[in-house]
Amino acid sequence: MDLTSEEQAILAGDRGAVLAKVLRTVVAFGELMGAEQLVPVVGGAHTAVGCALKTHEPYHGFLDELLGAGLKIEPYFTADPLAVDTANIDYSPEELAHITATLREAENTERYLALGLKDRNAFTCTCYFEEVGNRPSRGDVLAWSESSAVSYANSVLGARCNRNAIGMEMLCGIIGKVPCFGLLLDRNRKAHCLLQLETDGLPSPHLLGSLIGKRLVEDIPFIAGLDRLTDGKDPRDVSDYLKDMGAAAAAAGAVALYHVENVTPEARAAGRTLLRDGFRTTTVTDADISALHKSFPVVWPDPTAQPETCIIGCPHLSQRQTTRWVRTIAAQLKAKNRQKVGVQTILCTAPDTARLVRADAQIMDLCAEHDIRISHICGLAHMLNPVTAARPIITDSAKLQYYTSARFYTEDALLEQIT
Amino acid sequence: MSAGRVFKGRVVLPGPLTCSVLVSRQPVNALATYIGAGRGGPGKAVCADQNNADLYGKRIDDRILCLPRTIGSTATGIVFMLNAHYDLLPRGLLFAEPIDSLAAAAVLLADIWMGRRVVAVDGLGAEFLAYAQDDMLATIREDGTVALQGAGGG
Repeated sequence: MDLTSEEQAILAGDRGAVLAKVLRTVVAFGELMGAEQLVPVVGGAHTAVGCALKTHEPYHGFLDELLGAGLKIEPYFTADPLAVDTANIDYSPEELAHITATLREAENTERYLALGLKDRNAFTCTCYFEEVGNRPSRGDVLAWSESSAVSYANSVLGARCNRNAIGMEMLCGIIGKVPCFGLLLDRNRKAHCLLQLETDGLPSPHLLGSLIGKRLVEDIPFIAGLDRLTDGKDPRDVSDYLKDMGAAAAAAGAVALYHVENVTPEARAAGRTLLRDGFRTTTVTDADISALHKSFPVVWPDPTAQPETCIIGCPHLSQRQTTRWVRTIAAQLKAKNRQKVGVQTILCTAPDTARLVRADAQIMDLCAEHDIRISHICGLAHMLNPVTAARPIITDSAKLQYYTSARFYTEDALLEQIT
Repeated sequence: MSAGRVFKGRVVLPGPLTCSVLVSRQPVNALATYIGAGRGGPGKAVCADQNNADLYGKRIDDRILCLPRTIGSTATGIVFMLNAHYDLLPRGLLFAEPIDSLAAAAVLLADIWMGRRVVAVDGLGAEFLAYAQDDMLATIREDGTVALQGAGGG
């Protein structure tokens, strides 16, 4: 790699052995990926580690080595959600015992603050929401991990970020630079595949994203036909749809960037010139979506068990999604002449988003009346507790289904289960 | 044991290493593989990824893993760092495709920050992955040459 004189001095140890080790790692990474130089990042970093477990101690040792050398991420970083929320979620004594024995979140929050965490509310996978504040602009170069956030930043906001593994984003955040390769370069942001969406209606974003991830793995799709189905919708709802679709595509595959014709910024600017030479074409029909849905495994010990908990919000819900879920659940319960949800229902959202939701007295009245919980947890981290994971949990998130024993339902079917 | 076949790739982290192999024909999701992998018992990692029929339920820590590439979560980095510490990583990684950014970062973090080298070679090609079979013996040389032999495949 072509390093500046300052970078060469750091590598030589002029600013300490640990910073030299940090840069050595970043440079080795860049060389493996074919980068020719490091480029400055813009704005805050983001790490996909929010929850802190006792088994994470070796990773905490790595962070402490950085801290011990006086290193810090500038201007700040945000982090994925925490795992536990005793104020809003019912835990059994067995779950609480496991949490007490294994969780180290309070201690790690202090570590993170010393390392440059934006603030104590900065735990969310949707750091790009306006109210959270780590929202890049088009063209900004980022040091982020969290595959769903990388997908959103690249695709919906037009920022530039590679899929950084946890650990590497912290090192790049400290250096303030990332190796210039992959999605940072114009030529690599062109689509490999024209994906023609031929469904009759708007499919579940989780199912469509999962299908894209499985079919394309890491290739970049140029999605045509989705604009027809989202035409007339509020742009914020379209962004939320893409958030959920991108998260599923990144989990089921490695899709870090997609273009949606007439919708996402680069597609709006460049149209089908974004398709690279020799692109292939694939179509997605209702039958494809249905077949994928049927292929999702049910891994509960007793597949006929009654669900105990429903987790909605992986990735975290926006304010509009949260309030819509509350109103929809409440309306369905009223239609069935029932007062409370039949399954512990947790709507997961960012702490800063939850603050906005809780400011709406009408919504909070509905939550209280129907026992709907709003929480800042990460559904995936919540299910790292083996006592919790052994329970029958349902979700509308293909990403959560992919990584845990949670059973997937489409939104309408989930609503039936809840009410 | 028959002569087998020799493949040449790019050195990611140099060997040498000789060990039996485990083969995933599909891309490997490191987080899904290792979530609950410790339930195989102390000192053992058993693949927990229900979406990977090639690896699911098989012990992965005492082998060289042959794979196309990794996919999925950016947690690959911390997964490698933690399992490096607990000595539960595969002994080597043989990638058919060029290494992806997650795996590249993960092996470097394990090597430089956790002191656990996972010998790795990438770009071995589709033919390599088609030829490799579980339980074959792989010999990885420092120049990125990989010899496969045994287990009925050659």
